[in-house]
Amino acid sequence: MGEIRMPSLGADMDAGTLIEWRIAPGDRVTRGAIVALIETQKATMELESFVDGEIEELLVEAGATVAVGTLLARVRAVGAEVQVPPRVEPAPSIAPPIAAVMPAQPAPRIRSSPAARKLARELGLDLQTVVPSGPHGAIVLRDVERGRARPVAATLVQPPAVVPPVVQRPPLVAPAVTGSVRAAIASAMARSKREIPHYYLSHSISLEAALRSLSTINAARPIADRILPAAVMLHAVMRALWEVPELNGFWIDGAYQPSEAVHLGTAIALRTGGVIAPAILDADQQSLDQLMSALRDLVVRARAHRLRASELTGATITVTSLGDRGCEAVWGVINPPQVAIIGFGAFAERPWASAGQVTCHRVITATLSADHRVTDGHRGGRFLAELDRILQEPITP
Amino acid sequence: MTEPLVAELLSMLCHIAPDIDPGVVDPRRAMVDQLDLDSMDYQSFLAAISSRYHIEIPETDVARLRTLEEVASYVTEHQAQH
Repeated sequence: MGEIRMPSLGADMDAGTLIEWRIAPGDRVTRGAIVALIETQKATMELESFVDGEIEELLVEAGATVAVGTLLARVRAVGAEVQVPPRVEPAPSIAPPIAAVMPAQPAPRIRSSPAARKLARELGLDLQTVVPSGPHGAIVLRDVERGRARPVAATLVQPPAVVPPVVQRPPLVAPAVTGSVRAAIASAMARSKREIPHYYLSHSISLEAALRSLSTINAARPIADRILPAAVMLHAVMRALWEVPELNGFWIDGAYQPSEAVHLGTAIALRTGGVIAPAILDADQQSLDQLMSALRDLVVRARAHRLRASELTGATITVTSLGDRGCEAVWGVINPPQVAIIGFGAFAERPWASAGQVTCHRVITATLSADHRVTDGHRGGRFLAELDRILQEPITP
Repeated sequence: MTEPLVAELLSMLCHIAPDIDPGVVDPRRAMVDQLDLDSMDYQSFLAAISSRYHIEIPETDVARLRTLEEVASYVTEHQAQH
C-alpha cells in the first residue's frame, strides 16, 4: 500500500492547500507522475507520486488546506486485491434509490489557501469579500491580489454567502506569487546569513576554448538543439564535484550529511520578482545534451509556475548565473541546508596573459560561497581549479 | 504589412515566457533588454519560430534578431525564398 502525503517544503511550512487533483481513483500512476497541484506560501507546484500503483482513494478534497504530512491519497500496488465490501444483492425497491445516497449538504464555509489568508491579513482584507477562483470555490493567492486592486464597494455587490460557480481557467498562468516568493527568500536568506559561516573564493576562467568548441558543435545543429553556455557551465560544475564531493550535501542538526545524488539547483530569476532555484535532478547522470534539455524544460516550467515539489526542495547544491548581460561576479548566499553555492558572472572579453603573450579572451568569474563548518578554502580552491581545468577541454555533447 | 505577423510572434513569445505582459511590448525595442529575456527564453523563442515557419536560423543570424520587427522581417524574407 502506497501513500501520497502533503509534503513539507521547508522548516517554516506547516500546511499546504490542495488546489486540484490531476488523477482520479482507478488511475495508474508511476513514480514521478504528477498527481496534484498544491499551493504553499512559497509557490504553487505540482506534486509527484513517490510510488507506483493504482490510485485507490482520494482522501482530501480539492480546495482543502491540510497540515504537512496529512495523507492525501492511497495508492494500491498494481495487481493487488481490490478491497471491496462483499457485494449484497439490492432488495427490490420501488422508491428511487438516489435520494438515499445523496450526502447532506455541508454548511458553506470559506476555503482558502494559507498564502491567501496571510496576504488578506496583511492587507486587512475580509475573505468574505474576495471572489474565489480556485476549484470548489477556494480562495487562492491570486484572488486576494485581485481583491486588493478593486474598490471595496465593488466587492460588496457579490453576496458573500453564495459560492460562485467555479471558473475553469488555466490554474497557473497568473504569476501571483511575488509576495510569498519574496517572503520565502527573506526567510531562507536571513537564516543562511545568521547560521552559516560562509567563506568566499573567486577565480577567473578563460572560456575561449570552451566557447569555440561550442560554436563548432552548434553550427551543425538546428536552433532547437543548440547548447547554451549556461548548460556547459552546469555540466562542468557537476564534473568538478566528482573531485570535491563534500560541497554537495546538507548541514542538518549540527552535522554534515553528504548526498550521493547530485541535484543541481539552478537559480532562475522570475520577471514577476524574486528568484527560485529548482533542481535538475540527478544531474550527474546526464550528458551535456541531456543537461541542456533538462535546463530548458526547467526554465519553461519555472516561468509557468509548473515546478514539482521534488525539484523545489531537492537541490543538493546551487548554481547562480547572472546571465549574458549581468555584471562581472556574484557572491551567492547559501540556500540552507545546502553547504555551497557556485556563482557565475557574465562572460566578457578581457586581456588574457598566457605564455608571455597578452591576447583577447572571453573570461568568466567563477565564485564559490561555501559553509566553513564543512569545507575549508583549500578544498574550495581545489573545486574552482578543477572547474577551470574541465573548461579547457574540448566539449563533448 | 508585418503587423499580424508581429502579433503572432508576440503570442508565441508569451507562450514561452508566460510572465510577460504583451500589452507593454514595443516591437521596435530589443526584446532581451525590454523583457529581461535570458538566453534560454530567447533560444526557445527562435526555435519555436524555426519550427512553425519552417526556416533555418543559423547561429550567425541570431545576433541580428533583436526586435520583434526584425524577427518578423526575417521570417517574411525567408519564407519568400521557399
